[in-house]
Amino acid sequence: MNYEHLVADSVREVPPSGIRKFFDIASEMKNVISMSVGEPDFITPWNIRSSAIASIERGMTHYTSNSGLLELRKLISAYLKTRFRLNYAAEDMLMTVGASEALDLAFRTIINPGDEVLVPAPSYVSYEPGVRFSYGVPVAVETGEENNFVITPEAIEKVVTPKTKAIVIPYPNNPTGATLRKEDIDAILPVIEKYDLLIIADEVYAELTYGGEHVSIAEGQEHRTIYISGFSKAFAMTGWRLGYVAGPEPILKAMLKIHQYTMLCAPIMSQVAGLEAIKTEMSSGYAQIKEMVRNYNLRRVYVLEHLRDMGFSCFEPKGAFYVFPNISFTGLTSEEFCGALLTQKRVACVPGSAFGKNGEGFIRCSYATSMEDIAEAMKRIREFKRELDKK
Amino acid sequence: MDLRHEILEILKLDARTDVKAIASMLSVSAEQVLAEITALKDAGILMKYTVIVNTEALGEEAPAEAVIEIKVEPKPDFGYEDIARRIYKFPEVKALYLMSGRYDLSIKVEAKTVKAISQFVWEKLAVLEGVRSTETLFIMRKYKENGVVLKGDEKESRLIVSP
Repeated sequence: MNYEHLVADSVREVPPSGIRKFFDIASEMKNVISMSVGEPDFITPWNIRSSAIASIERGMTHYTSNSGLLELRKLISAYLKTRFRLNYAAEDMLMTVGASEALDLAFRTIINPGDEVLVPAPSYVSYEPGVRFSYGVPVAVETGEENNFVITPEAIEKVVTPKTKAIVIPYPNNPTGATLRKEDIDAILPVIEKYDLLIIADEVYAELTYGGEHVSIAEGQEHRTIYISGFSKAFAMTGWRLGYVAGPEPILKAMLKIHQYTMLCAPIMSQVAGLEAIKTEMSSGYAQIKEMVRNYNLRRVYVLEHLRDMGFSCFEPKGAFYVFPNISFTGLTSEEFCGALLTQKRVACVPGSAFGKNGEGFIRCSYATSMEDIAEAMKRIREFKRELDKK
Repeated sequence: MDLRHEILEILKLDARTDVKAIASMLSVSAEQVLAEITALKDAGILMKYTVIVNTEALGEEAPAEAVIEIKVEPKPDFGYEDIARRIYKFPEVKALYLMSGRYDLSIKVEAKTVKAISQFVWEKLAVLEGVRSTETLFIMRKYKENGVVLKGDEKESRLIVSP
């Protein structure tokens, strides 16, 4: 059979993830220090795991409603309100299988073939393919080191067309660690309103913000924002695959239609675990999250200082757990740089090129790893850099 | 959190973290960190840098350990201070606390063998003036010490590269 023929064009045309390739090489090697991991370096807190185990013992093994447990959605609604001043009712919310499913639902719900969706570049690997799988056209909104990887009104104006339907706004950002300040939001909102764009806000890293509070693009813009988040990063729950999406009622209803036919519901045990996670944090004044952020911050500052001291230019990331140094002055591409760093010094970072346009010339270093490993990785990168300088 | 607490938190996680690394993590100068650490030591807050040993893994060489609960008669002018001092000065005594509840003092004792601990109790502890009774509880197995799980069942299962 000609299988090539059987794979739909929309799928075949999407290249495999650049991260995947790197994973294959790195996982074959020994003694590798990984700064290439996009998830927290600790296991889900025990109180959360324990509540999930108890729920299974009590027989909570069935479907939930399509939207997910009402109690959980009510709690998230209250959480979004108190934490980020967002007004989304539990009825306008949907529990999903990770924020990833929410993204997929958003794209499939709004895109007609040929519709354009603006995606900041560089950014998370899934946006562009997600748009393409829905027969849409992803259009890069360029960001760069010179403006702290924040989208500007000018950059939007440059690429917006009558076919532009929506804009993905993912801050704090993976891979750059960039965050939006109030003034950044105030600058881009008029353009978004002018072209009447729908906002797809991916704020899965919202809790990981340093030296200032997270400001959501959705605040006061609930009527034009599909708000997506999840439990992976703030609660170290990546494997539970639990996310949520909130939005204007008509859009949410349409998303629910796809969700109910394709996914039915998010796993009940994950939802119960999520309930425990958010309940505990809200009642303790976000004690665990604050402690986690304090810890990440120490590593963030450490890595930033060391990379700068080695001579890399590196803007200060105020969110997520990534640092995105500029390596272009070495004359190597980001893939060459990461490849050589991995084979010669056994440190794994992710080439910026994996994150699309404007990622070239940078590498993503995740500091979601032990301080001991970070210190050793910095030592090795320093050696690597010194040897490069000699050449 | 102020600087001295930040420093203490870092050292509690890993006492080997050097002054330079602490300075870098907190964006202050190494001199500042050193001054704070010296002040913490002088104030009797930072007492000692030590290690957590999983003694069970030593096998045969593992010492015997016991918690001993003691009822004492406090002295009118000295309260518990006097008796406490006369107990904690024995090198076998690794920890001593004044407790609420049915007993007054709780101590942790370490010696080479169970026999040696028993001997310590009847020869040195029980005969002290002011000690009314003791109850010796031998530690049979240790699961967690100072916040560290000694023989964990949790494995690192993160992928080496992920988006």
